[in-house]
Amino acid sequence: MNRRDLLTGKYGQGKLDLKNSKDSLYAYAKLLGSTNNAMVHYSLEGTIFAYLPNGAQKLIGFQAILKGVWEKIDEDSYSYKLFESGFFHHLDSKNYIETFDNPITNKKNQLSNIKGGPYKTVIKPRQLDWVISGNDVWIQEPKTRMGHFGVSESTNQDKQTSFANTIFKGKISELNDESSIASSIMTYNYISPWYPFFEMDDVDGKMYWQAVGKKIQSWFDVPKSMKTFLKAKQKNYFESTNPWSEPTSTLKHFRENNKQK
Amino acid sequence: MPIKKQMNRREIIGGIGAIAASPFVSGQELNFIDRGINLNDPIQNALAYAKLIGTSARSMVHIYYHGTIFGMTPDEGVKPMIGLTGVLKGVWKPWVDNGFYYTLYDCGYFMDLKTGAPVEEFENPFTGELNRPVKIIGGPFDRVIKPDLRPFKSRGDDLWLEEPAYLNFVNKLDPKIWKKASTGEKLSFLYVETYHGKVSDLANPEFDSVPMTITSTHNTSWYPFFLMGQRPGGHYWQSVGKKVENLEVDVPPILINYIEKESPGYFESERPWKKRTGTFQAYKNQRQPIKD
Repeated sequence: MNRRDLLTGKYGQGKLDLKNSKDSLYAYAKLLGSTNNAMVHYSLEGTIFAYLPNGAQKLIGFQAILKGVWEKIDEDSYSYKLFESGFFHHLDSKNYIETFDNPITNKKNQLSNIKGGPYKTVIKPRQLDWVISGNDVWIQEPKTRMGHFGVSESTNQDKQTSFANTIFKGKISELNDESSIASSIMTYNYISPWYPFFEMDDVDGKMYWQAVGKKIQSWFDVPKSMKTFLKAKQKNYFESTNPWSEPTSTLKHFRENNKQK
Repeated sequence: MPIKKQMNRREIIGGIGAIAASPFVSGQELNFIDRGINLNDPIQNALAYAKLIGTSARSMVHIYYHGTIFGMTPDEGVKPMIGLTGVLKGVWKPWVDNGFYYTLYDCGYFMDLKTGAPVEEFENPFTGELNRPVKIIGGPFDRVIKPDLRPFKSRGDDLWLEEPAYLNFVNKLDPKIWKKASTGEKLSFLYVETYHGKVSDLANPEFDSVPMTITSTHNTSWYPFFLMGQRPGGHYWQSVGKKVENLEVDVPPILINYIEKESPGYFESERPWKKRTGTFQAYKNQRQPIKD
């Protein structure tokens, strides 16, 4: 991009054409992860709202570190493995907690940690629905999930729907530069039935998870409270390309721990 | 200095043009006091809010947005229904007791998910019926920003403010009369607006207004034009956008042309219209109840 393009705001006139599926794939990998073999992390912080028929209220906070292990397969494809590790915290503190005084039920909940992955994906050139405004660019990843959200994965109950939408924001000028990784800001929303450890099966309503975060470069960028949690509960998570191999999720992790009690 | 009643396009283009590029500052557990800003001080917190979302000066800001409405029902899951795009206008001024006052307007359209063009009608993926959306129009809505401790979040030089709002109010559309357009006697909305900016910009005393991007999520009762009646579920409105720095670079020409046709002078005027309106009111004004 030359000086004239910068002055006139013509950020889209770099070498990348986001309407071209191959360029779009490259931009996607660079924004969300990396165009070379690399590990990227996102540091997320958010709030869960209890969305009840008579109102919504903040329920609990959470933090997570998402790990993506990216690999370039060839010019037209990338693969990545995603992991997540995190914890819940009180609304007025960032320290991880294991028990929670639920203000809606007035019961004490034994919480589970946030744990997920590895989720493996291979991506190839495709049309993506980018939103572009000046030098800013966004891509969103809406995902619907159908499943059982109870204490056990019962086949007697109807499946329930949850919906997650993850939005990544970057800069066109960075996607056009020579580096393999671009900075990325993330917003995460997730609408779900009550997770079982909140013991709210009898309460009409749902959970709304809302979080913000960014791609981070090093252990130095990890918040202090998260460092404390990882050192205590998930050693080597940040350094390892494969912190665990058995696929899991926060629900599955809770159920397995629950069985052992 | 008196509030200007008119603003030309050149002034909009230069609205926050004095903003310099932000240096990247690495680090965690950011100490805002060391950076010249203390968000634990209610007065500085309100000033930061005004600079991020609008402006601390007597001026106008415009926010471009673009998104999708997804419908959610217990039986059929989640389906994208329609797109939306528009420009919010905030008319800001300093207020008493270290506060700020702003008036918000909204103008835009519901759009085709594939082409991005305004739609007159579209097929509802849940009912299979043709729906005719109204135009997106809202405001004037007035708000006072008082000194307070808003919970900003930070990672390095990046800063966010999540602003949730829960609204539960009487539906203007009586379900006994508007059988297909009304979801019930009361409407329930959970809005979460997430604003993102840079700490270094907010800490710079030379800036009245700083670059900001926004993500909006609205969990709401069905819009009346979806004609879902009292079918269980609701919709999830998601949009992304930004404070407009340069109208012609940041906002697609199709949207600028639409707004200038629908509401001439919208970008320049501090009071593009006087009577308060909103999507539900507009529906009631423009449409007739549909019989089963």
